[in-house]
Amino acid sequence: MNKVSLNSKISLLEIILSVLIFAAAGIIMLNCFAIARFTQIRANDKAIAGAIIQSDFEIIKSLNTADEMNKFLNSYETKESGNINTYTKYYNENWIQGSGKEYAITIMIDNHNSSSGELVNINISAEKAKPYPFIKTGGQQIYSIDSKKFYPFFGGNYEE
Amino acid sequence: MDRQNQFSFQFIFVMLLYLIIVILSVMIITLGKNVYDNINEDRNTNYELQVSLSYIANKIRQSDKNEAVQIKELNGTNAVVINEVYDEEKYQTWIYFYDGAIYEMFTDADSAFELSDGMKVVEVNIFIIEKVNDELYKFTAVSNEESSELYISLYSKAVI
Repeated sequence: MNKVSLNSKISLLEIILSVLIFAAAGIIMLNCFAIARFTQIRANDKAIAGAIIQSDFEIIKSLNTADEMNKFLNSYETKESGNINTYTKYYNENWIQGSGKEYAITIMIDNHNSSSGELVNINISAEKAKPYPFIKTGGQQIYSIDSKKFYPFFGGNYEE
Repeated sequence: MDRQNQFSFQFIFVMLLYLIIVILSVMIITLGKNVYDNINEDRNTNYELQVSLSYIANKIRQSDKNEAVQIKELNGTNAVVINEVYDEEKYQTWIYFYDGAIYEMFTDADSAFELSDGMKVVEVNIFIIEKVNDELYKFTAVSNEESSELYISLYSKAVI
């Protein structure tokens, strides 16, 4: 009859060591998976926030007067007045407006009047309410653009 | 008898550890596969949405001159038509949505063509072209049940 022999002492030690090595490798791998996932989520957020911010700038660019711009900005949910007016609109985790406060798009408007018109400094930024887990760099700000728009009092080149 | 019992207990313990390793391995591989699938799906969706919107934005910006950009109805949906002149001959670039993709067709001005004649640019589920006003267009792309929209303003006024 054949006999199977097992050196159980050495085998047990080897198995425990291999479990420890496996556990260490597993923790590193899980951490990498989590970092990869949240980096991808941040990249998606950046692309979506970029499209929203770009669209808002394009709308502002197409407006002809400061009054039209203020009317458009009143569609934002909150307004803080001061030297710099701040308008904010909120999105949920699926980037749907008005049903959550996971993401915020903020426009800061700084008006400078001159004799010929109104120069408006515009900053639009997107922020996430909570920081991304597992990602240390980058912070909560997703996207930010600065620009200027001049609204002439007398219509400019294209008006009578 | 004691020695035999001890042997069988150690054997079961070793086999149990093996089993734990196998189960954890399968769990980590499955988790890794899910993370990779999610990242890949997000990347694909992002690519389709961003490429479609960036493509049309760049096309329009390149041609942002007087009466160069038009919106015309083609097969029941709006299409962007870009008018160009080469060697005193008039040509048109049609950008339209057909059969689950954005197509581009470069042709002589006002010549008839089949929708399938165009060159496929990028696949999307839905692509909607809207004119908000003379200076502002709205484009909406939907891919994998996610949608993204982009407004484009023209320095030159659009024609319809």
